[in-house]
Amino acid sequence: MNAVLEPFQYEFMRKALLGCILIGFTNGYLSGFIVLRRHALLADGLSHSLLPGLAVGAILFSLNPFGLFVGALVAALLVVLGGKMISHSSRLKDDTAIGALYVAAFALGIILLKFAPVRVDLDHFLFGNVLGLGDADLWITYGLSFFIVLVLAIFQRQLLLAIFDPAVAASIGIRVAWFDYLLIALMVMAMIASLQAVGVVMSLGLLILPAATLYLLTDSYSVMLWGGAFLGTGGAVFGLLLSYWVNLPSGPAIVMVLSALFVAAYLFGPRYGVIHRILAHRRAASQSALRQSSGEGH
Amino acid sequence: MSNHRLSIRDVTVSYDHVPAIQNLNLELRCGCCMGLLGPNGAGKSTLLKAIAGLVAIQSGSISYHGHARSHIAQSIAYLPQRGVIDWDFPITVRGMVAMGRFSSLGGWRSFGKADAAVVNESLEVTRLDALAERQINALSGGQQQRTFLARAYAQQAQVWLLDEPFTGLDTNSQNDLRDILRAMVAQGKLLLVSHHDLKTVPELFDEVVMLNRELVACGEVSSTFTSENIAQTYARTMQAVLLP
Repeated sequence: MNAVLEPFQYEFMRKALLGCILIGFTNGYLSGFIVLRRHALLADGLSHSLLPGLAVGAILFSLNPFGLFVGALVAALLVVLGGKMISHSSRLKDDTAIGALYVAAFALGIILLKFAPVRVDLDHFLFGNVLGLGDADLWITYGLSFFIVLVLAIFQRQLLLAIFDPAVAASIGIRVAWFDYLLIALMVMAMIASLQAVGVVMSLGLLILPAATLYLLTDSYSVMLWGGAFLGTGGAVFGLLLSYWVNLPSGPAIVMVLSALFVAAYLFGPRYGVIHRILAHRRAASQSALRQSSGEGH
Repeated sequence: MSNHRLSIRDVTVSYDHVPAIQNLNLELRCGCCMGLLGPNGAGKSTLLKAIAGLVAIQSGSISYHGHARSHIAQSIAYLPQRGVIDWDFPITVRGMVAMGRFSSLGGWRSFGKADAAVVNESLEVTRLDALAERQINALSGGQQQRTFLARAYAQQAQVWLLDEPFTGLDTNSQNDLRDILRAMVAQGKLLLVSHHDLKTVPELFDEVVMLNRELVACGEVSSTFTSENIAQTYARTMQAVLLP
């Protein structure tokens, strides 16, 4: 028990714990929608597009977290809306248009960082530093997490129906395109909320892995959504402890914990796990062979 | 009872300035199973989508019970083709049927006993009660189609728009589906069903709408589904095939 409680005598660990709970829960809950909507790769693109906004934020407002937050939000929205505009006005599809813009944005971000008056570490952007969470970072995380979970909970039915059966959703008056944009906006906010703690790459792990794991285990979307929130929280907290015990960087430790659970579900899932499938396939094959041979015997 | 019907008045729908249906006038009465017939590209799906509010109508109007479509969205259920759904979605038959209640529940109202009772009744009338806890991919094609019907029933919709529900079903599943649709007609619902297998028309439908961008004929199967009307409905396609 001491091993669990001992780290939290330090204030930076208590702040890190609160950050992990907030980010794990919010991103875990949101991950269900992202996986069902098949937005995992879009999330990857968006995560890179935050960089130029952060760089501009750093140039204009130094390292003020609110300045960085606004910069990142604007940059991501420009990439999404710009991508949509290009796909609507040309024969290019969404994925290519957004893909083209986000690599450009990422490159621009790296160049812009050279002009920042303070030294901004690219590693920090990619992998975060949960142990360096300040009060302002926590307030941003707290506010964004609360907003994201509230919006998702209010619109859960509309979002689900729009994802599952867009035509039927539209026929009963749900604005499917509007909810699609809402989901993308929430994704961007979740990434920004996790930026300081786990960085954008690790944030992606929390936005994909919890629901991807549960997708292999359950036939209930409620379990996938809310279970994703609890899996994300548990994974983030356990990863944090692991990083303290074994002296590992915290962001990667959190993602490795969630990845281990994902691999376990993929291999050993009782219904959709790959081992179960192979065994079931073999059993069916041997039974049909048995039936055939007994048929020939008659 | 003069307004107890779905009225389609002078409706034109175009895609990229090419009309898919043109100046269509139809009066469809409740308590009827209507087959919507026509060759590929005749506008069958477009008409269903226009009534469901999924495509904008360029001119004309659609009303039900004398009300504009936008006021009666809940009374109209659109049942898409089976292929458009991700059947791997983590949802059981019961969960999918419960989605039929979403339109009346909105975002906040909790799913209560009355809603659960409606879902149970929907599962019973579509004979899905034994399969209620199955994941939807563990169903046959006919059972999946019945899940769509159960969801529309749970929505308590009066007008059902079905896009090719009989496609890809074996004879037994077709008969099961037909029996349930008959039961819905007996409850006074209006079913508009797009269909392409002309051989099965007389056994499945009471009336037919024959469409080829414009209305060719509409009425009871016995008097309307004639070889002359069939030839006229499919003529444009035949011409396109025969004349280079």
